[in-house]
Amino acid sequence: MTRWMRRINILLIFALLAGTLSACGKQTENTPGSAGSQPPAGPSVKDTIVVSTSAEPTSLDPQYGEDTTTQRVVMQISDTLINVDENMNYVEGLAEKWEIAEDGLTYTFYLRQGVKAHNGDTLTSEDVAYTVERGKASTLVAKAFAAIDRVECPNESTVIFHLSYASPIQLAYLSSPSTGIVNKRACEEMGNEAFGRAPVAYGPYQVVSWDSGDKVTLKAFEDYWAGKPAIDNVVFKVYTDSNTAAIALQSGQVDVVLDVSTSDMASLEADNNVAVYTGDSLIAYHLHLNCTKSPLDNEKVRQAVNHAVDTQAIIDACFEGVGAAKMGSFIPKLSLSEDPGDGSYEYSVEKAKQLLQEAGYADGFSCNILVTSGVQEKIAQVLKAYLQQVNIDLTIEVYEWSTLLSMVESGGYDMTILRIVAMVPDPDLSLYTRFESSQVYNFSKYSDSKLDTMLEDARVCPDPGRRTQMYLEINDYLWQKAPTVPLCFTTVINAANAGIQGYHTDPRGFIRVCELSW
Amino acid sequence: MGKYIAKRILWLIPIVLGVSFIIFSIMYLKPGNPAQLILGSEATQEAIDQLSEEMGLNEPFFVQYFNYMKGLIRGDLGSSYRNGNSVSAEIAARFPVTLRLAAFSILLVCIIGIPIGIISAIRQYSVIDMVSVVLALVLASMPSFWIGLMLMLLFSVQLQLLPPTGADSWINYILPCLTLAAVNLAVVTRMTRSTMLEVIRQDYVRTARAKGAGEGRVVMKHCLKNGMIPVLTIVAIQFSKLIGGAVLVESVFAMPGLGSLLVTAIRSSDTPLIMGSVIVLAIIFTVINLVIDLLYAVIDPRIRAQFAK
Repeated sequence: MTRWMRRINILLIFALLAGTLSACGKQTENTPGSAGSQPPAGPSVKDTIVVSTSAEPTSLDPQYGEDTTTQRVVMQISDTLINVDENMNYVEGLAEKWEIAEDGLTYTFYLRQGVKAHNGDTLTSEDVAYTVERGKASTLVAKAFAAIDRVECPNESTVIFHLSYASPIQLAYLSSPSTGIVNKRACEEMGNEAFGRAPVAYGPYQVVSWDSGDKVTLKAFEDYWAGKPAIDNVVFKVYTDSNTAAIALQSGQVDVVLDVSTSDMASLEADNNVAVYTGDSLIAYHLHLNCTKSPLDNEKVRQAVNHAVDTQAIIDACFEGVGAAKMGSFIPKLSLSEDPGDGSYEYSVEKAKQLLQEAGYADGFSCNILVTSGVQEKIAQVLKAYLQQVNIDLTIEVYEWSTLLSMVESGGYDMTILRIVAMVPDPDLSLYTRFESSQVYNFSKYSDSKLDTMLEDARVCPDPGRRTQMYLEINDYLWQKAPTVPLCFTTVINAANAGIQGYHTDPRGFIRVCELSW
Repeated sequence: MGKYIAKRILWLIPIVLGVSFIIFSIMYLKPGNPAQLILGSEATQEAIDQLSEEMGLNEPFFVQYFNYMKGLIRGDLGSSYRNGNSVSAEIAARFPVTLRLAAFSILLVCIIGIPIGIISAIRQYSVIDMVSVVLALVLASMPSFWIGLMLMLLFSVQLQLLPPTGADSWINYILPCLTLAAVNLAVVTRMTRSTMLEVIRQDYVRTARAKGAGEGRVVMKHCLKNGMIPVLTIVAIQFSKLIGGAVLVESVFAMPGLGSLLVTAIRSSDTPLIMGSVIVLAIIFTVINLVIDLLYAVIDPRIRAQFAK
């Protein structure tokens, strides 16, 4: 009797377990982009595009997220006053045209007529003013609005920004997803937290759902001012492992991979169903030399280190020759209207040795380099081999990123490698945070009042032509002072289903889904 | 029995206190400022200072810890540094995926591993025994992410049978569960085999055979039941490990589970998220242990008799 009861009990437990598990499973079935049932890359039948991204967005609220993986989703949902085209030229967005006063202190924007928000409201200058106000209040994106002193709304479709100082970078910021215009009414009604999960804005797509840690699902907005986008549904799916993302693309589960690792390129290029796209980026790797510590406080020693390193070898060894490009200038070409040319040091062991001798270090010296694991560690190993040739003995120390940050802050290092992402195409972003003496990310601890003045002046110069010249001068000056060894600019590598039309890479690692079609 | 369970559940309080204090101290002593990590490479010192202030990072250690515990007592795990989402909501969203993954894998391990272990024991040194030893060792020696990628290439890219990634329906769980089962199979198979071998040589087994019990009955009733306790222990340990530690497989198969949540949290020094996840995991471990202890009683009448006292 008891034996039977026990057996029935065990059966019941199993049935219950199976029941709960299958019930859990049912909730998420049949969402768009759900895998398995998709036909492999058929022509013109698809109305969904699945985009792989390497990390989950922090928030979908334009004013509460500033990293690449967040902004690439945000920009599908909210439009900015102005946009940038493929070559990083400014083109109209929500604003049809704009005027900048000669002193660079007043920006007037004329808004497009009849632009609809996802909730049916029409865009007014009030929404723009509200966006600026909440942007200024958000620590994450405040820098994009910092120069704007007050906003004037003379009528419903005109907005005037009064700047407290000339800030030529303002236009670049106003094309950044972090200045995406939000709908004032919806934002006030929903509150920041709910708004961050499903913002109401003026972009081509609106949020359907956000499954934590997994994916964000969007659908095309019928009344988008530029017409309903060609592809109805967009899924941004998180793939922390880039190999997996590549496999998912080859199997047809994913349509676009935004962060392709160089090791997957060969197999993706060999696949006829996949197209690989490459382009310049705004991301630079520098070898920072601690200018406060001997012997690297000596300009000649820093120049010698520049001569001693063959950066092309680093690109070949650590980026497989395709993931990065040689750095001829401190400023990405895309951020400057004039080609800065190639100012890099020639690779020459003799010149390096000679400079070291002049500096009094003919016998070389020992020093350490702080890196994070992965590609930085690889770069450090190549550097060690090259510096060995000029008798500089490099000790490689690998740390986790936040530890490395605090070690740099305390100053106990000779060299370190830093990857800097300029979120908008303006030379200021590639230089100011790195080389101005008071900046946190001045990892060379380079302090030079002349350079500081040059950077400050260029920062606020309202005349674009003169500003470009100023940056060219800064570029030359930096090559001469050599606070870093510029290693490379990375290459943006995207891979997409060959059936997608209109694809191109974006230097910032973004994608504009509304320009694509099947 | 009821008293025993209540006592064990009350033990959760010191466990949670201890775990939270240790993790909080580690996060506090760990170098690096979370505010700086959040703000990224364009951050100015003012912005970092302001955000640190907003996040309450400038408070002394005990004030921060006390504030956290005050929330915890009210069941509030706080909100993530990285995205401001409620930690309990994040964990609740991730937990079902991990639970399904762990449960199906461990089920698979038991269904395959225990019978193979039994057969290997009763047919010691036979072909089946040898093959199972070699196979289990080979599978256990391969890294899980590699097995996962290979399964994906075979079943998703070559054969186009199964979806490579995701957690949308049961079909997505086949490959990751196979991967986890493959990696964990060896321990259960080996454990079953060795305990069965020990039990088979016991006097009461000889007695059972002597009184004329059939071989099936001898193995299933007399041997297996007595050999089950170490196996159950090992299965429970593996299950606990899978709940918190299937990170590689979750990441390879792009499944939004608890393990990947914890790793992301650690990378971004997201103290509330780390605290929340670890506390939840600690509670789950304790509960699993309790359930296993109770299962011992179900299997072994001697242990049941102790409870009755």
